[in-house]
Amino acid sequence: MERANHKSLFAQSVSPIKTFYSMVSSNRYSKLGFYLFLAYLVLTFVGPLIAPYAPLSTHGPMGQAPSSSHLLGTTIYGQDVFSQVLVGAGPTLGVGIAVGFLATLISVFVGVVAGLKDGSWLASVLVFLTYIFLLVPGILVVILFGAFFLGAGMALSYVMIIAALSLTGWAWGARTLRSQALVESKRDHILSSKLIGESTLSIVTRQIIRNNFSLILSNFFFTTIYGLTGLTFVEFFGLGSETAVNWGTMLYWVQAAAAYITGEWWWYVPVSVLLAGLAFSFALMNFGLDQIANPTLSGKTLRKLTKPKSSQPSLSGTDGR
Amino acid sequence: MHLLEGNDLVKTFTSTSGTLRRTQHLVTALDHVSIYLDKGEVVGLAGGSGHGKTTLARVLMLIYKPDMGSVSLNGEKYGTESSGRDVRAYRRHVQYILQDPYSSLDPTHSVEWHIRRPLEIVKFKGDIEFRVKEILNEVSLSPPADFLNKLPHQLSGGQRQRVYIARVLSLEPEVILADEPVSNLDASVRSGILDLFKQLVKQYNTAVLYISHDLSTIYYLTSRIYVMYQGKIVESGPTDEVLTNPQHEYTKLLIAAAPDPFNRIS
Amino acid sequence: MVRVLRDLNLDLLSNAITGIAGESGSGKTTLANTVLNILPLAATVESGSVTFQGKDLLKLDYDGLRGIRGKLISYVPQSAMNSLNPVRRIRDDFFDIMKAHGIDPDSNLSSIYGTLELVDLDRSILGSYPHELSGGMRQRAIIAISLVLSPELIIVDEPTTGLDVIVQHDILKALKGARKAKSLSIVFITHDLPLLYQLADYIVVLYGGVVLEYGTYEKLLDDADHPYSYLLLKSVPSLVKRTKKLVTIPGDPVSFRDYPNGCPFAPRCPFALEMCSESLPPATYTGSSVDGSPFFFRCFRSPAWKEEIKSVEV
Repeated sequence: MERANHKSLFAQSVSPIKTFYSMVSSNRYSKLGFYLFLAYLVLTFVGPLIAPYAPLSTHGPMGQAPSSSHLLGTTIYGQDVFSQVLVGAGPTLGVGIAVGFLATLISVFVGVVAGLKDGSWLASVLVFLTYIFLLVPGILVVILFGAFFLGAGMALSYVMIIAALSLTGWAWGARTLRSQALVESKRDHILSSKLIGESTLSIVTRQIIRNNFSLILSNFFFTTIYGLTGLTFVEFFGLGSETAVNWGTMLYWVQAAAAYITGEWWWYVPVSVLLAGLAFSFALMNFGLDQIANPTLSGKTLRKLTKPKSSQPSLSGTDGR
Repeated sequence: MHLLEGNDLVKTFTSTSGTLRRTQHLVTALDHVSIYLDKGEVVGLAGGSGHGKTTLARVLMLIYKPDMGSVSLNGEKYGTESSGRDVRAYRRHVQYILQDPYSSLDPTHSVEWHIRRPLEIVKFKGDIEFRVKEILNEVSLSPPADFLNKLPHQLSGGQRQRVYIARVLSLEPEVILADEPVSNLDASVRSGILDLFKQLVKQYNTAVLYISHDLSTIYYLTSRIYVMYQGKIVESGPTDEVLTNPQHEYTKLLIAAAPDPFNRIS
Repeated sequence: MVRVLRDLNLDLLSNAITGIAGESGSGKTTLANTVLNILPLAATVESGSVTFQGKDLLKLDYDGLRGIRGKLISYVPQSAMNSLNPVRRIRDDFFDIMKAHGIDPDSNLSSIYGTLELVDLDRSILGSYPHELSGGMRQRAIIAISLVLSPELIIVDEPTTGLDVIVQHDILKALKGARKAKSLSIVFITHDLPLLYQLADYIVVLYGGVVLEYGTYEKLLDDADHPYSYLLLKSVPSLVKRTKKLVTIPGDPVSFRDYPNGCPFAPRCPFALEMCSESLPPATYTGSSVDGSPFFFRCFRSPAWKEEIKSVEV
């Protein structure tokens, strides 16, 4: 007898490409998020090309409000804010995505192996590591790490920031993927593949990762936001290189000059909004992905659930059971 | 020498029960079970749930390692010391049909993938595309083109089971262990699968161990039968004989309880 | 918009076991849900009524329904045995249902014991938690709970699915025994038509949202009027009859998403003609039972198709 096949709800995550495509085209939240992200991407590439001034050059008037020659005004030090925003977009987005990508890679490896090989010493070690890293407040550690370097007279390079953030940001994803892999590995279709003679690697890549792709993608978005936040914090505390130009460093200089007291709003408001907007674009895509992975979350059904039920026969509605 | 033999198999599991004071029980799932299959036979393994049928099947598939005893394929022994490679080689010849067609197929892969993969794994020397279509025809999923790109959730229970059978068939195993293959299917679809088994046995001369608690189906399909009760084989012999003159109490119980339109409950 | 059930007219007899056989997509669970007015929000009743003891159940308000549910009509849905509260003992479940209908459990223990006896369960299970009982025992416990208020009608949906054949047999016997001991009507819903021949007095064959045949079990066993009933019987192996040849019905059960216009079985029917797919055959009445309930079948080709049997047999 046919019972409701719950897996059919997840059938849309049939292949990575299809998942991404449907996420981007079928759901209005993720569509919006994706277009927003594309806009930022364009900014990343086009920005440095159209920046009117060198971002760190202090030849402009100091602390001036937006004008025709300085679209976003100038910093206290005479630098063009607009150029800083344009040039800073790249590193900001770059670090965020790099962290997202790297951390997700680690979490996939750790999570899936820990789940699939449950019971082995390797899995126990990985689980132990996962929980340790889960308890550690990632950004705090990175800041301490940076402070240590600062004390030694060195600044954190982008590579070090990316590495540090990735190493502290993979644990949550690994935990979810492990529980997925645990459940998945006990399923009949995985047993079937084992019996047919599929290798473990093949099962992991062709089936487990593929079946959980929307989860992995979601993890990527989530971790990218973590990367952006992390970068902002690290730079805000002045732990990065002094000559680096990204939206985080801009905020560092803002707080160093106490611009929020002296009122140079054009220096910190646009960049904060842009930063938040970037994080928001990933959040939107993530939200849209949730709705695809679980259609019961979609707005349509929510309305149906709150409709009051009457016992009078009425005009027919949609899909019966 | 038989094609497939299980010799004196013993398998125990430990299960813990109780919430505060946890006690461990030793559950003997297989209690010195010996069984054999020869080429081209359909043999029945009957018994209720929890009496060891699935455990026996899994031991015969080398999914579980027996505590004692051995499994032999064409005389070669496989047991606790078999390596991973040995097990893989064994599984080219002995395959397993799972009970639930709603979970035995990967929901994110097409019918074509399910049948192509085994062929790729055994490095099939021929036109894989053609062979996939051929097999789909053999399991009556015709025309094959209609089914190649379908996903499991687009298929009915009966079709899914056929896809699974096709998947197993592509390896051309000598032995197929079928674990209640029709119990999760609609009534009108079952006979199709049963007849498919008959046809495939004729075509490939495969040995089939048909595991079920339904004696009516076992009577229809099999020439020999084993009856399992609490981990032991309590009766065995030619199907007709055993079901006409059952000796063991449990066999008689199974006969009385057999789902059968003409077996009216008063 | 998808229509799940159409043109459904059934007059079920009391004090009998009526089996409703329906494969996937037949609408059998929807039918049960309609009767009890527990359809999901997305489903509505376009027209029609459900009459029980002179009242239209679909027109009752919440209080009216509460008075009926559990007390007069009891419903055991699919997989009920898996929905027993894992942290409550069985006796709590009994107490709950009795208290909900204003009956003091402690002074009515005999009813509880009575139902347990009916389903052949020992009183000791009252102190057990669900996980301490086997699947068959849980199912029988659920049936006992649904009988404790002495309802007039109990509707069971797939009570034996997933259970061992011996346990299944026990449950069928328990139901039969219950019906004999009390003045009770049972509606037994299942996808497994052959099972109904063992248990039911009357059988309703539901397919694709339409009742194709309704009659006594003997009629359906010996001389079914509808090809579907006949073919289904012939596709099931029987130990008693020592079956060595089976008929296979081609195709798959139709889903309610694509019900055809005419007879829902037509696409798979070896006797179908063009007219079968064009419109739904009207009900042909075949005489009635003792109290006047009409039995019927819906088939344009009946009884002509019986002549053509030989050409279909394998």
